[in-house]
Amino acid sequence: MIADTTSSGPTGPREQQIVDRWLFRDRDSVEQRFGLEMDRILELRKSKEGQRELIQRMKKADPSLNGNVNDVLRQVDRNLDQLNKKESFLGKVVKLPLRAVQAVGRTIKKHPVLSAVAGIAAIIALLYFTPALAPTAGEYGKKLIDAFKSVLGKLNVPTPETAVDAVAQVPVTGGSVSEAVAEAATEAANSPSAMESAGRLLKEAARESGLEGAASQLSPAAEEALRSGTAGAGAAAKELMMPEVVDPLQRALRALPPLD
Amino acid sequence: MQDLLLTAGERKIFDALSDSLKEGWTVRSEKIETFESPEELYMRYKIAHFTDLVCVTLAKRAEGISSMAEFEKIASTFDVSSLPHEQLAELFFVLGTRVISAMIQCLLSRATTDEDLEGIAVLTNIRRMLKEANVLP
Repeated sequence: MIADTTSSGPTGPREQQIVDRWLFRDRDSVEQRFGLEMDRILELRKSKEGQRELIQRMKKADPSLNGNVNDVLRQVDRNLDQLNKKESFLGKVVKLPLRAVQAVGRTIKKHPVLSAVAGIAAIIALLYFTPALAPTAGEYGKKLIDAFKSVLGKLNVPTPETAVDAVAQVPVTGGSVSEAVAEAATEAANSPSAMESAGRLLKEAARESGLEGAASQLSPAAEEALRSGTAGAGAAAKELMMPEVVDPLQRALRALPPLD
Repeated sequence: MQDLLLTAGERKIFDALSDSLKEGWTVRSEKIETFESPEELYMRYKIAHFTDLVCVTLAKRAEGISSMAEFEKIASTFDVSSLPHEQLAELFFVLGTRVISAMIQCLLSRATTDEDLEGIAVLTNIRRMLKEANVLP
């Protein structure tokens, strides 16, 4: 696997376009682009030497990659990983008897909220990434994701949208949160007992970083979430640590806490 | 498929169902120890391949929408029961184990018939398949 050493990703629309040219929805398109069988590519990505070979092939296939090659390689790595998992999953599901699949469909259909979750997920997959709805720019995309969070809330997925949104709306004008605070918040996200101090630390850090306004603008709900040690607080803390995450879908997915 | 693969929390919901409804069903223990990361789910949305007419028609209807409520209204008409196997699998892959688990909890708490439990049993098996795929190297 390729180490994810940076979190910045593509820096602009042109870079994003280049990266998106290296997105694969199926095995055939991967194999065609690399001129290798997918299993071989999966093998190559495991070693430094293999990665170098993949980079060479990518640069040859797309000379415009240049400085974007590492971003693209990271995406390709994650892409292939998910394609591989999807193939395995699909291979098992298609073997289910028709009657079984119909039973799931009928059961979900009885509950409009479940149909809505499924329907919005399909709409996101079909529309969210189309160029006209660039995820970080489109009001349409934001409403779509808000609708997704809303139906997940009705499903009782404890999406901490109030807390997350309250924190996400904080203007990011000062310095970044210190590493120690970020670590404390990460730990707190997994440990309710550590949440109270993490919440306090985050607010202090916001003040120290010149974000007094940010700290004071936390809504009562967000403050309560940070104080109470709920999963929402974890997500709120995480969001405060990751102001660069502006894509509404990424934010919604990051806010999903574990269940059970 | 008479086996329900339930987590401890789901088991409690099942146990609260009426004896007559529970009769004939076998519960096996499920443990979901890892979930997909947000980055993995994000990638799944990016590479999803919904080609079925039901999905495409839904997206067409959603194109001109301008409010959250409308999204919910249109999406709630989505007929999952008409999807072919691959498209249903595509959908569950995108949703991931957390949302599937939430669906299972929701369905269990509202189950009133054997048919409901049959659907839930299949869904718990699908979750198991996804769990197995998730740990592939």
